Amino acid sequence: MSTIALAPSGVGPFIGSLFTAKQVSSILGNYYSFTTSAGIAVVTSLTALTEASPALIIENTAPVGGVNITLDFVRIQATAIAAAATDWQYGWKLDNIRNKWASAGSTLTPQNANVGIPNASAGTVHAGALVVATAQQSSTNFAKLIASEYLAPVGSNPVQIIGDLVDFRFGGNEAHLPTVISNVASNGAHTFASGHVVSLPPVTLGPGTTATLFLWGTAVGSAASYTFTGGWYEF
Amino acid sequence: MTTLTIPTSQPGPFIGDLFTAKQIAPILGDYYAFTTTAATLVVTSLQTLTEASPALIIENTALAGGPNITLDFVRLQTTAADAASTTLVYAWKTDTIRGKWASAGSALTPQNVNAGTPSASVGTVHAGALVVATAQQSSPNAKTVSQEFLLPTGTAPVQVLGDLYDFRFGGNEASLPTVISNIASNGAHTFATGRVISLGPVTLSPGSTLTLFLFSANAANQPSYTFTGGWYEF
Repeated sequence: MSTIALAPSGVGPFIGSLFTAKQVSSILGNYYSFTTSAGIAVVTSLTALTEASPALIIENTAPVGGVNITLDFVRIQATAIAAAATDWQYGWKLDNIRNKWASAGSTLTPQNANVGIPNASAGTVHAGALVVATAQQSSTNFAKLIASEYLAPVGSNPVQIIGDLVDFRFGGNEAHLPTVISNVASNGAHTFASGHVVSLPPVTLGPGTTATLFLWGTAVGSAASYTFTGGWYEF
Repeated sequence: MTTLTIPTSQPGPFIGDLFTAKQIAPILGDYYAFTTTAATLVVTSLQTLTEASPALIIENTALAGGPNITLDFVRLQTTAADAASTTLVYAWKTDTIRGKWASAGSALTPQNVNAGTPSASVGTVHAGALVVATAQQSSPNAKTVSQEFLLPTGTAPVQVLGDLYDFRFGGNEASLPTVISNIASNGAHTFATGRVISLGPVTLSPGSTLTLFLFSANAANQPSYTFTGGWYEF
């Protein structure tokens, strides 16, 4: 039998050298997260991607030459539903227009994940029933719709119920993870909460750019509300 | 007990050095994504691999010596099902013929996922009820890199609204478990399913294409899908 002697007090691998980027980023103060303290209502009755009415805007306000923001995840959970909707869709759009957010909704503060480091993010986050002024809605050359899919497909209501959770992962997963749905009908209607992990391409926000989340559905007749939680790398 | 002192005021590892290729790619502007904005119909009633009628074509239009495109993923979600089909089969085929797409379907724009970098991909994407001219259908270099049943021989319906197929190129070590409720032993099911199909890596050099074919036994109707995907380009 061979034995291996470990040197507990000697020179060995520095544990930090074995960490992943996500673990090291918090040590170095390169990771920011945001969250809500309650459900926030989004704009009611949206039946199409509506540039004036996104649910979430993340903006890199750094001046030219400043830090990049590389998104890690954004997670929403339904706390009130649009019960009449017969499908549920999302779109993520990038743009290079500063001050995309005009008014309304809630401002969420990006918090440095290193407890001892002050919050000094270049990012801003607004969530809820947001208003985007016409001039800021979509630039000519840089507005990019990078993903638009059904969260619940064409069917009959309810396609959304309280507790439904959607976890958008940017470049982190190698695949969609299985959706867990109980008691879903063949048309997508369901009565038990579901959890979706949506694997998305990686996204980097250079200075002066934005990532915007749109939510809508067919036959939406009331305002849904959500909690919003997320995080990004910033360096 | 060993204690570690982290040099908070000293130069430490640059976080970017620890990133994966997928995390670095958007910072460098080397990753492109595409998506549909609405359901896209594919060719109806295809019962075999039909060279003239693929569902998706990705082409690297760069000149010789230009960048390669290395596929990351392509994801489809069913928005209209062919209720009569008793199987569902896919095939991915590569080829070196330029101008594979001839007409029809929808052109999807590859978008650079660095928000501040202009979209200038050498890739083109067409999805839907595509038409490929005879001369472009299959060169001596054509390679079928993967062909399998998404659902095996069974009875209808093998496809329902919401069924999702997530093709991953070189990323997973194995197909992930399929989550299906209420599926019969022969593959028929009534609840939506989610599948992750692990494929070999694929690189499209300048002038080459990657084509997706979908077909079914007893197909009699025209299904539709959303199409979403991404690739590395450098």
